[in-house]
Amino acid sequence: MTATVAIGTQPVALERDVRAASLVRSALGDMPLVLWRCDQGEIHVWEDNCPHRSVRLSAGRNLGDCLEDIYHGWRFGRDGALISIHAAKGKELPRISARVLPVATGSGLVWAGAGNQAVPPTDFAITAGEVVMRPLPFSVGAASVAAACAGLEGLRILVSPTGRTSATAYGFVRRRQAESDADAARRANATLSAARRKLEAAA
Amino acid sequence: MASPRPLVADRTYLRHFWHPVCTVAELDRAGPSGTGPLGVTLLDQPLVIARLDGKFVAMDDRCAHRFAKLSAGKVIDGKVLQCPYHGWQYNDAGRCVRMPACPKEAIPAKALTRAYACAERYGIVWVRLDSSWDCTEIPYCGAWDDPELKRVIVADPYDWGSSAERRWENFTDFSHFAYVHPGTLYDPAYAEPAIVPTDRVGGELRFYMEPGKEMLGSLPPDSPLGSFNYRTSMPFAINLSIRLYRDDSQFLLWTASSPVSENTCRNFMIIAHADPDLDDEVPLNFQKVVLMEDQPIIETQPGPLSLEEISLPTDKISNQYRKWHRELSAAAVNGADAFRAALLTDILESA
Amino acid sequence: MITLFDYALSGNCFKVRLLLNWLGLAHEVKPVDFYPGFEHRSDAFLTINPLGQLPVIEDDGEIIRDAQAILVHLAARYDPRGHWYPLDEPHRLGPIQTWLAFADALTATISAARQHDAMFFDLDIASARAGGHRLLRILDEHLWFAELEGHDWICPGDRPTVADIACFPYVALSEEGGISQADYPAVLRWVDRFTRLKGFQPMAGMLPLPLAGAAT
Ligand code: FES
Ligand code: FES
Ligand SMILES: [Fe+2]
Repeated sequence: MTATVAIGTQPVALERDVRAASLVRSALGDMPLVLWRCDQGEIHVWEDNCPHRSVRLSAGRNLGDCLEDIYHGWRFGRDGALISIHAAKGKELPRISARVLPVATGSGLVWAGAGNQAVPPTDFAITAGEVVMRPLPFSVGAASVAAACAGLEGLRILVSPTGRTSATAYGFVRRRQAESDADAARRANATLSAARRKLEAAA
Repeated sequence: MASPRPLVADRTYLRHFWHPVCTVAELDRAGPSGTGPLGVTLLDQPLVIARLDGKFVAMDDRCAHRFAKLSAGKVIDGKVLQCPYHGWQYNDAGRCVRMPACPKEAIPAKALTRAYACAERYGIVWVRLDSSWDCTEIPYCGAWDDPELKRVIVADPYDWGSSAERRWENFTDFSHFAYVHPGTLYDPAYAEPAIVPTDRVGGELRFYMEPGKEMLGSLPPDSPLGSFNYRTSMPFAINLSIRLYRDDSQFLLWTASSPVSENTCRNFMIIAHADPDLDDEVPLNFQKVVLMEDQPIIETQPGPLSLEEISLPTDKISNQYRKWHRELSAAAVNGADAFRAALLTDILESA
Repeated sequence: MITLFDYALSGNCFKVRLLLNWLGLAHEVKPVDFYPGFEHRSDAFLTINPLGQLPVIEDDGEIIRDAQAILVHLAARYDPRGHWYPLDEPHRLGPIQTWLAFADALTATISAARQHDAMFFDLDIASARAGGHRLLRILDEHLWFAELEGHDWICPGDRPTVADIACFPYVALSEEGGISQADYPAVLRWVDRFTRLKGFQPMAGMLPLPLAGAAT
């Protein structure tokens, strides 16, 4: 059916795959992301980079009310602000923040935007009878992925660029009669995987 | 994503320093009689290392004829390095001295590959790519200075996917011990290292630290806990002499990173200690564990040091190190005297 | 008494250490200096294992080599509850065996890439990495659909089996071989679950555990 490249606001994970007490890695274009669900149930999306010494924040820990960096243990609260440095206990903290991205949830997806707000496209919302697919990473650029996936029957696909030569396909599959959600997801995954094999072999 | 601004825009100043490229043991393994050749990379430049007439030589790894890699060739009679393709033979100055296809013909003046200053010290081969200013020395290592150090181990080098600057900072960084080496080097209960004076002396950054003695009880017996005395020769060497709390003997940990590229480094390590009966495996294995704790974390850092990174007073050592690198890079643009002054002017904080 | 011929930085040895500890089996460790000593190529070691590979165990005078074979041996012989290798549920053994073979493929690709990067082994790094990615895609897909059906582990069941132990180390260590895990969220969740198993201790090179208290 359809496949387009997400522009501005793009899916970065499935909502249900971002769980408490753990960290999820993703990417928005060539910006690596860390996603975490705090103890209030909200999902936070930040650049996966510690402002101190550029270590990946996703190597650290989700402590519920903050994210702790693995290298020197700096802690960043839900709003991204630095809230504690063990090595500098008792001293006044400088105002430092992780880079926080605007987030939205909808259609079972987590959306993030590079601008001031995350606004999922109105024409890409799940409808009755559709099932969320397993996101599939590709090692070719988003435009070629969208072109290769455009004609796949029963699938509506939105391609998130995760680098210049990589992208992840998110999407919905229309359930067939008497088909379970899981079977529909499996079928869609097989279709999309076959398209990926063809595309990557050609690249 | 806006690409981060690097701390130093111009890295050519690094060509004026001596850098380690391989161990003598590696060269011994590379050729039948310890002559090499061995291909290495320094500051993105492919080099061939060989021992000709007993002398260590470093040359561009490229034959002047059809650009074949000389490191794939062989050393003939311990005297000349022969190209693998048409057999041109090079002497220790990088000059072609024989062309087997036309032995009678005069050898063109351009038939040479560039040779660089090369020397052996501490069982390690060192190269300086630019010797025009000749104001740097091979970094200090105290392993053979002190009769108390009865056993010296020159370890095999290891590669990291991170810059040499980052490797240096990691090695001298105290505030990561509690997070990255809990139970190996540090007791997590003590996460507040002191902020200590740093001195510049003769091209070395020097500082001294005393971690808490209380940790003796909670760390493994192989952990070298003691007072830490650092003499770090710019740009990438560290001589860390530790006076062990457990028996007041000296334990020396020396390391030097070789800047292979902006994002990769090759690291050399020497361990020296006072116990002649200790199996080499014991300190080597301990260091391996420490390295394996650091490596996955450091490799998540993108290559060059970045100006955007936030520095606090607790990052004193790293801040001083970065400052000096910036000064050296800037001075090198202004020529030999400025560079020499930036490197060799002493600045004492301790006293 | 069990003797393990071991190398601390080997993922294949690590799996055996994990199971020995989980089964609470007393054992003696004989370190073999794989790198840089290349002791596994020494005459002494080649008499023990002519393939020159680690790990090897000696159990009651019998030599057993190959990490996966050792896991099966230990679980079959010393785990009377049959949690790790359910001998009395034959329908589960085929799938477990399938993933034990998959673990061998991980060794051939990811472990090779790691040896190239960390120990300078001379090999085709691009094809080792590409092979590693191919396997991680397969594992991620498998685990994603397993989760969808309510399963946490590689083979259906309430508990992990030797299949999880066998696949875990090189998956967890892949970034040491330059193989990014960012594209494999289901794999990362499984790694996370595995490291939170009671009594798990990471080996050097693995990122440390999430705080025990933070687990849900
Ligand atoms: S790099 Fe994040 S706390 Fe230092
Ligand atoms: S390329 Fe070296 S001799 Fe021809
Ligand atoms: Fe460290």
